Amino acid sequence: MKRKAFRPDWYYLSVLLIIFLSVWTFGCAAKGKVNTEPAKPADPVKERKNEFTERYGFFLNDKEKKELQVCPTVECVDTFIEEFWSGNKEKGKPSRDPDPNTPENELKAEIDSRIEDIRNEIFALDGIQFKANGGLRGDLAHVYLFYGRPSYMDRLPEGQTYVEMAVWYYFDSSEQHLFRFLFYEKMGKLQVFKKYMTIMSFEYLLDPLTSPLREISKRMAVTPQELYELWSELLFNDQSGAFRLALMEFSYYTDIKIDDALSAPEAAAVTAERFKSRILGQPDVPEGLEIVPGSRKSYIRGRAEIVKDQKSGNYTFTVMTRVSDVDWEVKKDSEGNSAKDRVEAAMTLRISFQDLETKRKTEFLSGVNIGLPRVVFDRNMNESLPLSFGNIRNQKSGQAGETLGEFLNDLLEPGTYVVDLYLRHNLTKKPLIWTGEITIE
Amino acid sequence: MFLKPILVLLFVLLFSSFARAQDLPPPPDVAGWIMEKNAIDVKISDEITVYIGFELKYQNPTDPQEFVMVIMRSIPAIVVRSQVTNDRSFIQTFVENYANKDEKDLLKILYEERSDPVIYIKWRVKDDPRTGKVVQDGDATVWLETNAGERLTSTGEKVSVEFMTELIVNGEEKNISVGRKYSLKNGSQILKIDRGDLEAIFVKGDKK
Repeated sequence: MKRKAFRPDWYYLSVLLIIFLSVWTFGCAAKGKVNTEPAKPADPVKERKNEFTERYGFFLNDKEKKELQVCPTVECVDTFIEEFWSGNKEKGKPSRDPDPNTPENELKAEIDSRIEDIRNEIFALDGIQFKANGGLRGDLAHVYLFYGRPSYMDRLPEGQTYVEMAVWYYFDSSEQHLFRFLFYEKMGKLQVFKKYMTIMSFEYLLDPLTSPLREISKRMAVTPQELYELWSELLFNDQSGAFRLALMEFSYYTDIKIDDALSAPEAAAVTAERFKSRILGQPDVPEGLEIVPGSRKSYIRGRAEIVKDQKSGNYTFTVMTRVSDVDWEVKKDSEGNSAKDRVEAAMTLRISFQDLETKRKTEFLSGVNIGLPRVVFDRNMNESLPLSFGNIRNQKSGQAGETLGEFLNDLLEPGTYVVDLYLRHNLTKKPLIWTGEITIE
Repeated sequence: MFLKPILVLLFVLLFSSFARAQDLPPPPDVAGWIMEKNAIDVKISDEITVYIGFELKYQNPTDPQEFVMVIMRSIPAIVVRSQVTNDRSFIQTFVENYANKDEKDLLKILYEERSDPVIYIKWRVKDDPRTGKVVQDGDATVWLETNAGERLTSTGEKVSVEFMTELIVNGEEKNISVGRKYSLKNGSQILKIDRGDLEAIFVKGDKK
């Protein structure tokens, strides 16, 4: 019988190795994993976007995310970033500058400072690391970027029945819990807890289908008994109650929800617009109206005269001003005949009479309209303009609607009065103010 | 013997120190002077401020002992600030910052487009050799334009300032500051809010 040629073991091993390497190399080459081509340059647009979203992604709303996503060039991305912070009124983009009175953007500065804190692992000594928990894109960073250093924080190492947890509390100026963020370990990272109890009952707490304790349990599926054991262990170790409270409720204030607290915050300018101050008393001249302004920018010069007619014994009230001191609205003739143009002024007249002895005050309020043909106005600019209001009616609520003449002569009791006059132009808001004393006999 | 000339002198001084428009020297020209500006405001409540004018203090750059104060009146602007309810302190900060900016912008417009100078007061100062402190040197000269447009001037007379109030009834009675009255002898310039605007805010609750 022929004997087979002797082959040492290393021979067979070498053959196997060569076959294996050949198959592997061929397979990789076929899949393209062994790259024999030169490396492609990085996409600068994608890089720029990633650079921005890594730092500020949590601050973008859905619309902004889409807008950034479709930006095709670096210039487009840079413009987006610029407008993200400073706004663009023409495009309806609000500013995120919390203080428009300063050149710097304090919000961006604050966020950048917090990013540095995250990179420097400011809570490392407390046993919490951002890098190990998603870095700038993790839940810890999300909360820290929005709200900064918590007012109170604590960490609970994993127990027999529950996973590792941490709490960050944020108090408001009334020392109430504005936010109670609970982080728990899931798949190797601390994640923010959101599954709050909707019904506060012990039965609910131990129900394996609904209990929030399921999230922090080490077991995938739990029984009521196991939930009870978890709760007992938590009770024992959570001396301050901070973890149990954070499991139950997100905020002292029932209207504050965690999803809202973690949503991209509204731009400062939008918030400020909702609470914008109101400004009253300023000119309100509609577009297109032609106004010939009076001689003063802020008031109408003039005075009042209350005179008793010696024959009739009646008092008359006249306001003396000048044509050139009043603001006039030009009313063009509808048929284009400039000779029929007019100038008019609509004003509100308020006069108060305070009896010096009784201190009782009576008021007269009315709207007044004065007008002149334009040609007369042009010729008499520097002339006096006496305004007699004897026939205008009192519109002050509670009064019978008497004329000013009737008011002076029939209603006012004899006595000495301090008279305050305020005649204000309805559009330009310029007032004619006068004060004096009269004695009604 | 000297009584008559003294009386004549006094009469002349009195008349000349309280001259009327036709004899008046013009108000001082403060172009190029160093200016300090402050708004004149009336605080009605925590939320409501009314701006009625400006006080400008000028210093002569070539004669630092010489000063002029100019009081300007403006179309009264009532600013009603919103109150942020519930404690969201960061929102309160934004709202305040933007409200401050809006008021700055308003004051700029008021000053540049809706104000008139109505009072000038010119005076000099010197160092008191006894105390080393800065004291007024001589009499101040005042120019005042009244509401009626009459121009008054006086040297040695002071402008008196009266803070005006009005009673607003809205359930309870409230005495509200409404402005100022500057008086010189028998003339005055009144800077005042329209009562109708006050009623709109307090009585009708028209703060929004």
